[in-house]
Amino acid sequence: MKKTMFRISCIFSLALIAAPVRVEAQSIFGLNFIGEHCNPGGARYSAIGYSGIAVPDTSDALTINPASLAGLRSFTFSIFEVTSMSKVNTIDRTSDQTRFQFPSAMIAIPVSRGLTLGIGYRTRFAGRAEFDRYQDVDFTPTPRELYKFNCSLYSVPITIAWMPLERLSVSGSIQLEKGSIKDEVYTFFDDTDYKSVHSIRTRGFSGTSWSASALFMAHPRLWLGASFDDAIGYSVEETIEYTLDRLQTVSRYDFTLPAAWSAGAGFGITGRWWLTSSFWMRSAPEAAGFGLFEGSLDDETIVSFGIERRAGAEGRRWSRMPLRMGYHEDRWHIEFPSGRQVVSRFFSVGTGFGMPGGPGGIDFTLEFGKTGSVSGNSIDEKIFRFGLSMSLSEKWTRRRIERH
Amino acid sequence: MIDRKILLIVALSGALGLACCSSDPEGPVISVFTDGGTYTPRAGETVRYVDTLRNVSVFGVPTGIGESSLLRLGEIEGIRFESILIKFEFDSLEYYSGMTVDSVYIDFPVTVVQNENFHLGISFHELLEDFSEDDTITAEPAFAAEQIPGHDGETVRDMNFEVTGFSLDESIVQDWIDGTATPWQNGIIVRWPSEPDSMGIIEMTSSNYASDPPVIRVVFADDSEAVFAATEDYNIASYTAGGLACVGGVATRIFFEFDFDGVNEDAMVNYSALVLHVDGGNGLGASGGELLLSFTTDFIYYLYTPDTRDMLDPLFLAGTGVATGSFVPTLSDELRIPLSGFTQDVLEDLRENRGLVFQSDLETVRFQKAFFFDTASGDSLRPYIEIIYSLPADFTGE
Repeated sequence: MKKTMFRISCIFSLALIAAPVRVEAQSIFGLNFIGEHCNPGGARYSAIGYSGIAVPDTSDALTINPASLAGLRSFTFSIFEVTSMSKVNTIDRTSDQTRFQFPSAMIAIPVSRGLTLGIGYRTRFAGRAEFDRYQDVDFTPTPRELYKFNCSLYSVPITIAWMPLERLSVSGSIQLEKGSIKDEVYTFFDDTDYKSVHSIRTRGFSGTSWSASALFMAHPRLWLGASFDDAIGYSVEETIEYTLDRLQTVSRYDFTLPAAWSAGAGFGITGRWWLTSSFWMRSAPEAAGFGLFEGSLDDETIVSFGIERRAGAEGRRWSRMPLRMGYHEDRWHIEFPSGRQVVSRFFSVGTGFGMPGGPGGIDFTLEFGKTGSVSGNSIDEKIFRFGLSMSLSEKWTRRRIERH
Repeated sequence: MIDRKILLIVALSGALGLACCSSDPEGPVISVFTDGGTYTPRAGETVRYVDTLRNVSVFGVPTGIGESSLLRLGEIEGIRFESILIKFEFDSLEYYSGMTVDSVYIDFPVTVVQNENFHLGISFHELLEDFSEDDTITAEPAFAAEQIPGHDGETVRDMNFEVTGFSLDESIVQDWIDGTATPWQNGIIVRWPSEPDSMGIIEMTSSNYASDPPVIRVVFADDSEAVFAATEDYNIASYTAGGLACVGGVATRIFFEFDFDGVNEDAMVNYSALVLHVDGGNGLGASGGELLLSFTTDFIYYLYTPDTRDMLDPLFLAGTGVATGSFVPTLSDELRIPLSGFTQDVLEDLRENRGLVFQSDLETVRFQKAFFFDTASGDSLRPYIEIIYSLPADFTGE
């Protein structure tokens, strides 16, 4: 069994490593501001539209609500990866894109019944782009401009989750916040006799934050969840390097990402069929370091709904499998152009099954959606995402099926 | 169990397949964000700057080629081969003591005459000063005014395609054998005392060639012969034609002076070159004699920035190398000599702008000539320095 698990893990890891032939962010809109907001949680939560703030999971460490970790009974490792294909449209142009998100991962270690420690990695904001164009000059060879944008603000949460009551779980996390936004600009020529010159701006972000969450079983068919993610006071070091060393500049400033909060509920229609919903919000950040967005930043909100037929222990194989569907709408911080908030809307479906020959499970999600609009934002992106997550945890057959 | 594995493999394959799908270029659609949009970084302007050079001058460097395989008389492409100095080996004279000289000839191993009709009047004089092939000789050393006569008393001989050996008065060698005169200790000089009707060149192998040097051949009355071969020889040459010429062997170099006042102080140099236009009709890659010896016709140049701006200072003749390369000087073409590192250093004041000197890298080995259109030529042909540079990117979006 361990051998099978090891093989599966190897295959999964290789797929993650080999897959990003061209590593990109989720959305082309991530080119702006501090990138695209990445939701927490694994494929199960993605499949129910990220509406699972009140959905516990006893075999997955990548949850939306960290208080869920208190319910884990064994060491759990979870990893989640998303690949997306999209079609970007402007009024007169179209471009097909394939993108890949750096995986999120979490390890949870139960230290006693109802008390779990966790540590992981997740991307908060990401964006990546690479494009070039010719300069308009009256000589040859014609110089070309190459732009590379790479944004990744990530968080390393160190979490403790506790179940003081049978009905209540709480958690607290200290989060190490790091990352950078890098803009590389090259002027180059097709003729190799001509040297490329570069200008590279790197904004290094660092800070710490804390968060707290709670999960409450009001009734066996009604769960409530909430979380609070404190403001992050990033210290930003901005370095601009050029081909000429003497032009290099270094400056520092502070950037605050306001606190975010979330609340939601899960309602069991039957033992297996559950409805979920949640609301998430962060106030508009200041535009420090992003002067062009002065007056063009709004509150970000996510409204989400989901329905899940949880896994069963009886019946034929297909009837035992979980089925999930969801919808979420994310109103981004940014307005583009000013006054026109960028909005994402996604429908999602997913399922999962137990890890062959071992504990844990594998979940899939398919998301179909759109970000922006040609009429409102001059650009939209129709997106199809494939999410795959794996958890190594307690054996599937021991899982408390009423929760998954 | 098998079904789950198949499902897993399908899922992983799907993820891999999706990720492997190629993407279109983002540039066209992303212009919404970049052209007046919210993505603010902008590459700096790229500029082409042409410096038409503050001054261009040609200067001579005292140079001589003592150990060439070839000796020449005449003129080709303005390189004037005025005279040849020759020393012979006379140590074996004592073996001929008591013998009677019947005739004496000086034979030149001519390999090439520029054309069949070219001929040159030459005369021989005894040298009054010693010379060495290791010397740098740019002017004729002192020689006896009296010409060395021939068998019939002639003093000026006509050298041409068919006649390359000349008689000498046999009494000269007889006196050496009899001990009444001393052989030419310093050697002789072969020179052309007057301008020919038309200019050309006669080439012959030298003592530095593997075989067949110039010789004095003595025929004795008993029909036996003695040969006294040249042990050292030297070709004295000069360049007289002027123009923007870089000549090897003579030698002339070209000094380019410029300033980059019009270049932005934050310029990041993509490309820079000294641009010259070769006038192939006035160039010399290899003479006919050199072609017979399979010499290359390429002109190998060396470009350096001198150690001083003072042309009278010996330090001016050396400096820091900037570029080296080769081209065919007989083909009219544009010659671009890359300067990128040098130009950036000058702009950054990392090195002082002392101009650039262009020279033949074989100037002490080969007689070659590169001729360029000068500053009086049109914009398309005159020499200039081209700089393509980019300004730093702007990240402010302003």
